[in-house]
Amino acid sequence: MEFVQKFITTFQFIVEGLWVTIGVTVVALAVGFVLGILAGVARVYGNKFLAGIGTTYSVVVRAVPVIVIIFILFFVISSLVDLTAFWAGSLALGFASGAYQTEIFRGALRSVSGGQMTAASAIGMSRWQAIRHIILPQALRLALPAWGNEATLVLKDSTLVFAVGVPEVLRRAEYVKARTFDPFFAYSVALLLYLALTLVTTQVLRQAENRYRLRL
Amino acid sequence: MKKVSGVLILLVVTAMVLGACTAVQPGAVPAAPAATTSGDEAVAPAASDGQMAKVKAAGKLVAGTSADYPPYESVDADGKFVGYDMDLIRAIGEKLGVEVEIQDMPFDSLIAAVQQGKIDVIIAAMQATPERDEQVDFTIEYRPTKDAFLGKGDSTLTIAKPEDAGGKTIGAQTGTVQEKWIQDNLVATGLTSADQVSSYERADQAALDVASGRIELMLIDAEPAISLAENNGLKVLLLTSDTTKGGKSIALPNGSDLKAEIDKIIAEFQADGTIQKIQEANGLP
Amino acid sequence: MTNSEAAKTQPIVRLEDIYKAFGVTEVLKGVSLSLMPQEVVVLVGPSGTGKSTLLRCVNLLSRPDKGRIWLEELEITAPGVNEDKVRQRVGMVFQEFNLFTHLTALENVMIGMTKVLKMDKRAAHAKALEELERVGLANRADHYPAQLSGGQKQRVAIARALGMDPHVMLFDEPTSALDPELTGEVLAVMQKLAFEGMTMMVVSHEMGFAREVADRVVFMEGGYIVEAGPPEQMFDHPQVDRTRVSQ
Ligand SMILES: Nc1ncnc2c1ncn2[C@@H]1O[C@H](COP(=O)(O)OP(=O)(O)O)[C@@H](O)[C@H]1O
Ligand SMILES: [Mg+2]
Repeated sequence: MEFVQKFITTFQFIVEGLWVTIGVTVVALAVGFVLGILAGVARVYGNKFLAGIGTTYSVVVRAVPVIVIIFILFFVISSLVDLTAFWAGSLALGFASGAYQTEIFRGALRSVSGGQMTAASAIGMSRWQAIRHIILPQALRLALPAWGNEATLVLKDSTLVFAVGVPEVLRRAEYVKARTFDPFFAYSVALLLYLALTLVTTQVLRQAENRYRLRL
Repeated sequence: MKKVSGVLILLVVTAMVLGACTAVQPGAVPAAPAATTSGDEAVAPAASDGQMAKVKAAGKLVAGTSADYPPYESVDADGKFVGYDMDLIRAIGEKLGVEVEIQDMPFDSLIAAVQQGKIDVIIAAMQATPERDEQVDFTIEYRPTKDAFLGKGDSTLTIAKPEDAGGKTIGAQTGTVQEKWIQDNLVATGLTSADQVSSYERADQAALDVASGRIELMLIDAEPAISLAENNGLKVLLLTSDTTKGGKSIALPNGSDLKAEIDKIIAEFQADGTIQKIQEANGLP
Repeated sequence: MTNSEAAKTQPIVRLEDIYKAFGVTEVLKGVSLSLMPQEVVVLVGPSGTGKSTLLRCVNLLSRPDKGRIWLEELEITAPGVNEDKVRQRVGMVFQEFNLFTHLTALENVMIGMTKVLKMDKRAAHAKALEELERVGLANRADHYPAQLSGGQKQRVAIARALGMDPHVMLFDEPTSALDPELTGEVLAVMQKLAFEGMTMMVVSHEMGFAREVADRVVFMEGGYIVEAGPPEQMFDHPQVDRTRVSQ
């Protein structure tokens, strides 16, 4: 009984960090999505200059630990623009995720058969129209499984934004641990929350995959 | 319109990539933000220029801490920041006539944050080491570090000053500053012979040996000493800051004009017993 | 209509001395060819001779190294000509269908109308259904390419090209990827188009189709047109021996 009571109290305290974790993850995934698509398209279909930018972004950012990107964005970029910790952390995480998403979308864009671009050109679509209306929609569907994996990785990386002071689930677990000197309950609750989030995310993406699967 | 925003995003991306390159290039990958932004003096003066005016104008003092270190700073079950440091900084805020907002972040991020003006001050049981002193300014110590000499519960030894421990069997934890103090001040001076000193992997092992009478004394940081003494039926024979260096200070951006003000308030609190009250309220020796 | 002399005054497509090389491989070595309105030309010849390349030059999917091409009154090889606008007027059907896999049959036909011709959705929807009707597939409008047989896919591809109201249709071996029992339905659609007066340039090995539908058969080999003429002459009295062989 005491066990249950303790668990509930701990849960109620830590769960308040859930929205922060979800918020950071969603913002980061969205930002990474936009960057990943831009850089992915630039790499596959851009001219030398754009492809160069896309490649540099992806290679450099993936070579640097995410935590370093977060620090740089928070401490360097945000000395120019006034960002809150939440936004700096989320944007930085998104900036990092964008590099990984670049690779995901690049692979997906490449696996769309060349005939699709030819057929789109043949009905008079410009290159950009073809990319936007024909190639990208197919690439996005092809990218879904890998993207789902990235989503769960970003969810876990969302713990890193505490580096700039965003108290997400794991940090709230640490508060409990520091206060109670009992890591077991604190981390068990955190584990359950992350597990639940991952399961929900995976489930939602699986539905999306089934719904939008490309029948080839 | 679409095209313009596309170009804009690309520009931002480029700026970020370039920013990332230039910032990462010098030296190895930084392990802590302090390293990332060290040598960033250009920003620090701007942040500290008239910090007092800035804080007063904002009506609020943003204090950075790392809230996982009770009893100095932690978060209670209601989500409130509590502890010695929190009580102290709120009292200081009251004196300054501003509200205090606590910003929690990892200890390693605090110095960079105060340099960049993300927070106004650091209060995190931080010691003013020379390396840190180059990055930030420290106030006077608001709390000295203390050590404790522990003896058996029924010990009749009187240790009025640290040197009184000379000639007694004594233990300390391996590699601690306390062990070093024993070697430098008791053994090297000949007060104690080398074989009277025992070195322990863990503090609780030393406590067990004191309890069983195998050694007469142990020297340990005062904070864990209290509960250690309680749990093992030991007696605190002396609490002293004579064996230690570097107490806890509040950190500010280099050159901040707020330092003098906070120094004054701390001195006042030490004189009028405020510090003493805060210390007791948080169960600190 | 087929015999209206007035309509035949100006060629729909005119190729003049076209050269094209890929690296060191010279593929087209001076090809000239005209298509009159409503004319059906069937290109035959061994594989690797440059038939596809020639076809792709007509809608500038391939740019000739030398030579000029006119589409009606417009010289499309002239500098500054908008390729996308040219391609809107030239329908093309590929051996591998190349239907957009993420779109239904109807959406495949609609997308060029809405995105390229900027027709409004409702009008495009109606027209796309008409085009599907024209190839006999209105009842498959909501099927995805993966749910269609090869013959059906190719008919949707034809409808997609027709939806743009092309002035000429290019077919690059439209039945080569099909099982033999499925070629008939595609050829029937093409024959119907020809009958309706569509100008067509067809690369095909279907000699029956060439014989029945072509106004002219053009035999290519080694980057040249080696012989051209009405099908009866080409198949029954060939000047070049190979023509008979490929029958
Ligand atoms: N994009 C290309 N790059 C390099 N070589 C090509 C390309 N397209 C065609 N070729 C070559 O040109 C020659 C003619 O090809 P093609 O026009 O497809 O002939 P056909 O359609 O008569 O079989 C072939 O040798 C082929 O390998
Ligand atoms: Mg071919």
